[in-house]
Amino acid sequence: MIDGRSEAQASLYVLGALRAEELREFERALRADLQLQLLVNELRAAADALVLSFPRREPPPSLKQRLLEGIDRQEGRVGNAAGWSQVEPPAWQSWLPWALAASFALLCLLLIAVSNSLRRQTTEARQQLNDQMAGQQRDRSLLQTQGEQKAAAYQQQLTELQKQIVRKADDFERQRQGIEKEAENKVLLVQREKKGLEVELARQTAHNGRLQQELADAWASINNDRFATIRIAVLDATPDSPTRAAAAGAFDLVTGRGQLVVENLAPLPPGRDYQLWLFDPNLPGAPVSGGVFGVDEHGGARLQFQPGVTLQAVDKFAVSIERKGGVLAPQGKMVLASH
Amino acid sequence: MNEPLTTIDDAQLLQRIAQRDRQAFSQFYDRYAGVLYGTTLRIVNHPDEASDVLQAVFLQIWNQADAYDPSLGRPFHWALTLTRHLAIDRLRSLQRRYRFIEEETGEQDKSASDWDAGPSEFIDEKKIAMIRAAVQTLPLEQRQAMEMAFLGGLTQDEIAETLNQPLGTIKARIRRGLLLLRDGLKGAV
Repeated sequence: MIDGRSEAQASLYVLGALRAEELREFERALRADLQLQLLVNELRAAADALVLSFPRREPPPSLKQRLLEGIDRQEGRVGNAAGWSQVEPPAWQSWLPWALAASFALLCLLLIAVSNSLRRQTTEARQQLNDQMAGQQRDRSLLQTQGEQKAAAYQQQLTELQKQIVRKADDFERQRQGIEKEAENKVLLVQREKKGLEVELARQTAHNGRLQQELADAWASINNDRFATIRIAVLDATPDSPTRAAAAGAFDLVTGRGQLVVENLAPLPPGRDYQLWLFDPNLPGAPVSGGVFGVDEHGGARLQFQPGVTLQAVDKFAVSIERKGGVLAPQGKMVLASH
Repeated sequence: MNEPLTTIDDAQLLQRIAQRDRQAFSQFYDRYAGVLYGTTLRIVNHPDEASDVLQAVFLQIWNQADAYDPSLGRPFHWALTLTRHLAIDRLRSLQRRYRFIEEETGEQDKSASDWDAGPSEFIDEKKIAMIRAAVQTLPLEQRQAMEMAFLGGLTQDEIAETLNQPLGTIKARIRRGLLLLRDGLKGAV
C-alpha cells in the first residue's frame, strides 16, 4: 500500500520537481519497492499524455531537409537528403564492376610481389633478431654473474659492519659502567668532605661565639673604665699672658678627641692664632698640635679638637701664640699651660 | 527487413535507426515531430528557437538510438524526455522562465491534421481525443502546477514562489492532478 506522501513524492519525481536530496532518497526507495515502480510508470504515462493533449504543430517543412543533410554530413555521405526515395543509378555505374575486377587483378599481382619481398625481409629480420637475442643472452649471463659477485661482496661488507657495531656497543657499555663507578666514588668522596666541613663549621661557629662573648666582655670592661682614659687639666696664664686668662682642657685617649674652653685671653692682631699643644711622654721631642683658634671680643673660645696622631698618654696642655694657620712645633710665646 | 515501415512499432524503428537506417529515422520523425515541436514551442515560446531545439532532439535520436532502454519507458517517452531537457536548457540559456498559457487543448494545427504516419502508440486520433477529454477535466490550478514542473523545469519550491502559494498546496495540486489524469486515462494509454 502506498501512502499519500509517497504518491506526492512519486508525482514530483515524474515531473522532475523533487529537490536534489529528496530525489536521491526517492530513487533509493524506488529501487526497493515494486509497487512504487508501478505507480511511477502509470504517472509517467499520465505526464506524457499531458503533452499529447496540446495542439499539435507542424514544424517548418525545411527542418526535416536540414536535419537529413546534417546527418549526411555527419555520416560522411555526399548525396541529397531527398534520397529517401528510389533514384535511377547513373550510366557510369554499368561498367564500374568490370573496372573494379580489372583493378582487383592488378592489385593481386602487386600484392604477390610485395608478399615475396616481405617474406625475404622477414627471414632476414628473424635471423637478425635471433643473433640479437643470443647476444642479449650472453650479456644477461655476464650481468647476472657480476650481480652475484657484487651481492656477495656487499653481504661480506654488511657482516663486517655488523661485527663492528657489536664491538662498538660492547666498548660503549664498558665505558658507561666505568663512568658510573667513578661517579659513585666521587659522590662518596664529596659526601665525606661535606661531613668534615660540617664538623669544622660547627667548631668554627662555637669558636666564633666564644670570641664574640670575649669581645663583649672586653667592651664592657673598657666602658667600665671609661673615665680612666680621659685626661682633664686646668691651664693657667703664664707670665706672658693677662693674669685673668684661664682655660680647662679634656682629652679622651680612647676616642682621640678633646675639648678646650678659654676665658679672658687678649684678642690677637691679624696674622696670628692661638694654637693648642698636647704633651705625650711617650713621644719625645715636639708636642702634638691640637689645632688653632681665635677668641671673641670677651677673650673667650671653645675648641673641639682631634690631633692628627694617636696619643698613648697626655700629661700636659699648653696654648701659644703662633702665626695664622698654626705651625708644626711651638715657636711663639706660651700664654697658657697646665701644671 | 522488408516489412513496410508504416506497419512496424516505435521500438523496432529505433532499432533500425541504431543501425543507421535513414528511412526508419524519417518514419520516426514523421510520427513524432509534430507533437514534439508543439511541446518545444510551448516551452520556449518562439518558433525559431523551437525549430533549433527540435533539430537537436532528432540529431540525438539518430546518434543515440542504440542507448534507448525499453525498461525505462516507451520510445515516445524517451523522445519526449530528450525534448523536454533540451528545450528547458534552451529556455534557461535565454534567461527566461516558463510561461503558462491557458488555452484549450482540443484543436490541432490544421496542416498537421491529415498526417498518415502509421500506427504509432499515441498518434491515434481516438486515443488523443480521450486524452484531451481527461486533461480538460483537470482544475486549471492543478494543470498549471504540473506544466510548470514538467515543461518549465521548475522545482516545487520555485513553483510555490512563482505562484505565491504554500509549498504544501503545490505538492497537493500536483499529486491530485496527476492521479486524476492517470485515472481518467485508464483505457486510453
